[in-house]
Amino acid sequence: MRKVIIFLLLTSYCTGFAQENGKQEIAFETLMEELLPILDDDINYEELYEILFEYYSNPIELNEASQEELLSLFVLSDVQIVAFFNYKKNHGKLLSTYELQAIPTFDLVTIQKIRPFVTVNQFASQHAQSLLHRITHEKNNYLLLRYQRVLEEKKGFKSIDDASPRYVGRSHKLLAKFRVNHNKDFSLGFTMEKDAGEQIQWNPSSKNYGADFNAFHFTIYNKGKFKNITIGDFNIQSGQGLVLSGGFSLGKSSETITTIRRSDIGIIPHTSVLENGFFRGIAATYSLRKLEVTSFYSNRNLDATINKEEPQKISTIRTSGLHRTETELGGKGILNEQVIGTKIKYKSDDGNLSVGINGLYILYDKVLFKNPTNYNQFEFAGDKNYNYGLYFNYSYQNFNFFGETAFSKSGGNGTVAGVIASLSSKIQTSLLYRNYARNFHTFYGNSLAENTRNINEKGLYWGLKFAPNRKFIATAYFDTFKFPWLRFRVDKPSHGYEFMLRANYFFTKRTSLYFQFKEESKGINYNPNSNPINVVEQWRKRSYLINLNVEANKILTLKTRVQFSDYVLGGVKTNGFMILQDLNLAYHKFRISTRIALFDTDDFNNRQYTYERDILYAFSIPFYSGQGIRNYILLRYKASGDLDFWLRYARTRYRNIDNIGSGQEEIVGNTKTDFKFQVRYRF
Amino acid sequence: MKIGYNHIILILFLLPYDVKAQNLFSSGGAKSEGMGNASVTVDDTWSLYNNVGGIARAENVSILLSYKNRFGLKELSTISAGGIVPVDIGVIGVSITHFGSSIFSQNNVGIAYGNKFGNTSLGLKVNYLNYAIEGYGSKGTLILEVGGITEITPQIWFGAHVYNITQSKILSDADSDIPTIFKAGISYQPIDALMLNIELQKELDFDSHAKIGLEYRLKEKFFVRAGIQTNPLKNSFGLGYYAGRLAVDYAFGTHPVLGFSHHTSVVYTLPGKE
Repeated sequence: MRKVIIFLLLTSYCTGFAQENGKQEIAFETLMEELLPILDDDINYEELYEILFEYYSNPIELNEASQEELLSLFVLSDVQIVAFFNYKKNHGKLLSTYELQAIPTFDLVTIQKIRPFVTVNQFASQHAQSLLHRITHEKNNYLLLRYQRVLEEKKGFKSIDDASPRYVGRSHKLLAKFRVNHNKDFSLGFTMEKDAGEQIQWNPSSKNYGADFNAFHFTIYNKGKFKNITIGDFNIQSGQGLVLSGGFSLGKSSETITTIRRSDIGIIPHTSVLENGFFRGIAATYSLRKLEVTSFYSNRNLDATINKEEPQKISTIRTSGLHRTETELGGKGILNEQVIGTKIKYKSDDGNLSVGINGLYILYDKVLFKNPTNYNQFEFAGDKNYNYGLYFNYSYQNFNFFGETAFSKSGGNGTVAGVIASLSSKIQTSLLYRNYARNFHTFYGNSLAENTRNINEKGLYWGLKFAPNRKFIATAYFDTFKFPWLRFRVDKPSHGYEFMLRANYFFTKRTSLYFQFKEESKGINYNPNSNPINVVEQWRKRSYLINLNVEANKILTLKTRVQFSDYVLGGVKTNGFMILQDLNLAYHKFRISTRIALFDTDDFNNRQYTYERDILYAFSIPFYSGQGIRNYILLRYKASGDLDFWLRYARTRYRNIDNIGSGQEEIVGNTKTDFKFQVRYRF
Repeated sequence: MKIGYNHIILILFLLPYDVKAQNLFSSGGAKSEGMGNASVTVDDTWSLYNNVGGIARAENVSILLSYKNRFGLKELSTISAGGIVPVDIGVIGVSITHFGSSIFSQNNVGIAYGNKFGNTSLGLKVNYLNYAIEGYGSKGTLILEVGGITEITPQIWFGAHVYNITQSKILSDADSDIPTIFKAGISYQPIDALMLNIELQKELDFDSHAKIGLEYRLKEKFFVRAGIQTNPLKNSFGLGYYAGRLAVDYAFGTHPVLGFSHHTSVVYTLPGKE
């Protein structure tokens, strides 16, 4: 009977479900536009995007997925996940992803969103073969080679006879990446990367091994009682990410419900080109009846700046990963960090309750000591830190409670606690309370916060999602926060709020319009008359966005967007504006994406962010400040099933300025052009 | 009134005040003028000037002719002529525009092509724009414009258009003398007789301005129109009479400082294949 149903479903919905990598990329882009923190702050979106892409590009095996893994997609609601496991209990394993339509509460929009990221393999992996055989014969692999450069010459590359530091390397950026993996069996990969201005050199004493950045990992899954054994570069996600956040945080996005709660997924391989915020060593997860124990050891050399007054000590840890000048190279890998940690998780039989404890110990080989300022009085100093804490997750009917609390060596406490509830079939709500003491030091934690780090902040976030029918969906959040101590450029304890509303209307499956409004206010030093003491004033920014997506037919897709903003501080108001038009074509083996955008902002506070299409595994989320026009054209050619080519040419032409950027990055003229070329081969 | 060089200066000062349609001195037909130039979503013969994507829906050959007089000065008038021809692979259009007098004139010749893709029509136009100033000579450049119109629902239409997408300029050392202009707008037609258009236009060196236009059909053949533009605030009104193959439109516009403009245009549609 079930086979008949599947056959009927297949034939009636076939057209919507063409599965191929191109569709997965587009689905990922669309999903990311919803999940990413609202483009407004100086978060490194490109890095975040890359981590998420790595994660999403390994489809989850539905028949073996745990509740945490399904939650980690940030698409399914609790009600849907419960329905999924009930369905599997009553009907056994799924035969294909088409069967998702048969599960109650799984609407077509949700299924289309997750389908590129999940899979159902009827054929079990050939465990009978040796590991080496499986690795060398695995079809899910790729080798990626990329060349990228800014066509105009930056100051750091010119030969000028002055004392300023020059870039030691050439102006191109190169990347080589390889990965082979089989879901829940093994994963192996390496990455080699050199940024513009860096050199390729072999000099072990100064920590240079060929490319400027090398990463490697090898993971085996499900070997006896070991769920995961990893050597190389990895990340760990535990509880709500207060101590171990897996290398990323989703922040406040227009998806106001699912992104508030983190999934406890344990060890994840680190394959992005992020040069910091990960572990390098060994890690393993071991199952012991109802307990799951994960332990790891990491030994890594970090870049740092020496404290000029006390050369034995370090004043800051550098996280840019750039080693272009003699100074930057001089600080490469000079601080050794050892981390040892463990997490133990208990899960109840019915899956409704899980409780865990975390412990982390960090040891540096030099003392970290910043020169004191009024705002860094409670920051970390020393050469040792440790965190220990507790986390839980409890589901009761249509409520899901979760939380984590942790302490650091300083005695400072950090706590997050929240709840997600499906109040009716149309309304969901989320609530999250956070309190990070001004002396709470977590180096690998990244829970929801207004600041970029989990320190010196108290706040309450409330999110809502209203989806009355398939055509309309509205989300909103309201976040109020306080900073108990001073901050950089804020000379007293301060407070603020943020409010966002987004409404999305689907005229048809192929035409959709959304509108977004965001208002944010925070304190900042305001001293226009150069008085001896700074006064803290509240600034307020409002941003508006209207976006129309049109799929004209199978070949042509268009997007038009208008966004504008205003910023008020001390009674002075400035504005920003951007209008853009995209045209995308998909024809046989070619895909072409182009854009023209006009931007006009009064100042940097009104800078406009836009998300741009880019080559696979590369991400462009630039911001525009000033006046000018931005164009890009992206071409993709699928030469064969195994070979793909990408080419991207992007140009920004500014008005009324003579040079772009500053310092070594300065370009003379008013145009900046970026060129990328990439090849991907599958063995 | 004899035109002298001081009038050329006046013309150049007019530039920021009269930035309406695609380029400085063109016009988009009296129908569009009557609606405050909120016509990026309208697909008729005048799309040849207002949004080249709109020509793709044409089913018959049509010819247009238009005369616009600004502020009572003959030397500031624009004459436009053109035609669109549906062919197998889409629709082709040709336009010619002349503005000014022998002392200062702007001339434009354009060729357009448009086609339909599902619920969207797209078009492309290549223009040769030339300025001629007595005593200084003449200079021209190629300008490209692209535009499209999408039917979101039978009552709601959306259009977008970019003029001078390649940012061409006439003088090589000027930052940019021919503007790049972006227009996007929505049209709402709750009933057959009523059309309400709202549009946003942005030219890089100026603040964006909005245009709102309304058209109402009285009886079968008469149309009345009204429109408003912001930055500076201008009003316009229009009338149209459509009899069989001939469509005649008249529009009247006001400017807070410079006075009134009058615009008359005619479109003749040839019998088409059924």
